[in-house]
Amino acid sequence: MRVFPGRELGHLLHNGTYLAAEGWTAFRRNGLMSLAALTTALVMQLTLGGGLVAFLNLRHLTDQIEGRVEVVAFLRDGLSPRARAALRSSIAGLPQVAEARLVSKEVALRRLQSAFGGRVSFADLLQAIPLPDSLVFRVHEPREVRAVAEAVRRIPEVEEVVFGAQAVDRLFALTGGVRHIAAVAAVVLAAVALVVIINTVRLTIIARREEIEIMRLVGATAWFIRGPFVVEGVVAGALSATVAAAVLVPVYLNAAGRIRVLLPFLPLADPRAVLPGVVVLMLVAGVAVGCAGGVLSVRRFLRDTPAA
Amino acid sequence: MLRRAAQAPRAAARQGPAILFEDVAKRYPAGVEALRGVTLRIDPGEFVFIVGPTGAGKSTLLRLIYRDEVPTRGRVVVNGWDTARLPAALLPHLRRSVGIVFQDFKLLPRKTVSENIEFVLRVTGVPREEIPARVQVVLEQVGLLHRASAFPSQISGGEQQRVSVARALANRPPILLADEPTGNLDPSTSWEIIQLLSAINLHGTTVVVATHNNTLVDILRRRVVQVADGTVVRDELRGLYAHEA
Repeated sequence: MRVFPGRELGHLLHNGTYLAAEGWTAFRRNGLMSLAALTTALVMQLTLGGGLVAFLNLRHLTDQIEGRVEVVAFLRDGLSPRARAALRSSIAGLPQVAEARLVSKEVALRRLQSAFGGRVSFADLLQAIPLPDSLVFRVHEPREVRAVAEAVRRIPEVEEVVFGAQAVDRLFALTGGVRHIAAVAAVVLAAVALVVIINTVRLTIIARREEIEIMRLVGATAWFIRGPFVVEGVVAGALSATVAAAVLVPVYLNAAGRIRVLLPFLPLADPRAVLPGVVVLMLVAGVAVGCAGGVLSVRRFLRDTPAA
Repeated sequence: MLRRAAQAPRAAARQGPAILFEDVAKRYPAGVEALRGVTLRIDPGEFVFIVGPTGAGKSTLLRLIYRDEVPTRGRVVVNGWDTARLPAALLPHLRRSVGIVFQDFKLLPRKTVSENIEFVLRVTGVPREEIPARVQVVLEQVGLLHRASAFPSQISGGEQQRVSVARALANRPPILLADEPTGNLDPSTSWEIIQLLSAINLHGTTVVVATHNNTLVDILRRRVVQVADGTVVRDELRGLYAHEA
């Protein structure tokens, strides 16, 4: 009998639809066990998707903030108009500064009010405005912001200087811990999902151990036996990703809408830019984990079977 | 029962023995010595009964042929392949060249009769278009075409065994092994199965049947290889189950 080793892959591809159909049938017939795997994978997917969306928004936010080349220097109370004007022109005279202008506390109050969209009334504050006068200036290059801000802060008339990158630094310091925890949680969840899928498929296999044995006896190669199980894992992974996406997309759109109303000055990432990438990633992750689960679960039972 | 429209097995005009045992010994890891030096030659087209009590080594002998085990000493050559030296990648090919029929039928329970046969054809890469015809041919050979859509649980033991034989034949292997094929069957069904195997042999397939059914062996009077205590104690053509005094 002649043997053509390269033929095996050809057989596998040729039988691809057959093996896929077998895998789908097996998935359907497993009922409860598939449900367990699906649910776990679903939770993992939601966390992955939700986390990713939150991360992308955070990055968008920080980019927006950091990119602002605007610096606000809050002035001490009690400065005379002349002192304020002198300060403005000296800062405007700096080579890195593009322009500088004064913002009186009244103007600052009005800006704040409009930022809140008229929801909050500041009428009672008009007598003694708690806001300081400020000097807003822009630098030419974003990377010069820190240096100029530091220099301006040392001026005695200036009480405090705030700029975008600084706000970002503070934000990151605050959220750093949270982000690390989230990353660890995501990895743990992925591992859990993988284990659950592996065990689900393995339970199936234990139940079908005799079938696999018979398949081996009639000469099936490892991949021929493994194929349907891999498909089963992939179906579970893809299905969980799809359901998770179906939940995540409307929830996110809804939440984004509400945030825009409540916190209008908060720059949110455009959902149309964020969501497609996230959904694709969820699908890829689901399929990858499902595939890995399918392969790994069968491994133990196919130890002596050649893969050809 | 076997219709005239039969297939000739592949490589029918093969040079050399179909099965060759050269001073083969098999000791299992637990220390059990199943075979203690067996030399045996079976040529293509032969019909051989392997007889002996349970535990004599019959099953081990068969397992060495389809390479479920390898010998601890000596050589086993099947269809020209030294089983111990066979590269892992070629094992499925060896298995496909040896059709096996078991005492407990070993049909895939979740598949219908025709799907069971279809499975082995798919495994060996038979083109999709050819499969239905091939399935039909072997089912006709064993007389079970009318049961093609039934599940194993829905047919009798004798019918299941016949499906098993059909499956073993599907790839037209040069060798057909049967390990106690009538063990779970009543006498008349057993006789039908043995007749089926005999007819298959007439068409050129080498058939090796391990059995302790003395009646059948005595009726057919084919070559008998008697195994006792791990060795071949008797090997005669046209033999009886028990040695004639």
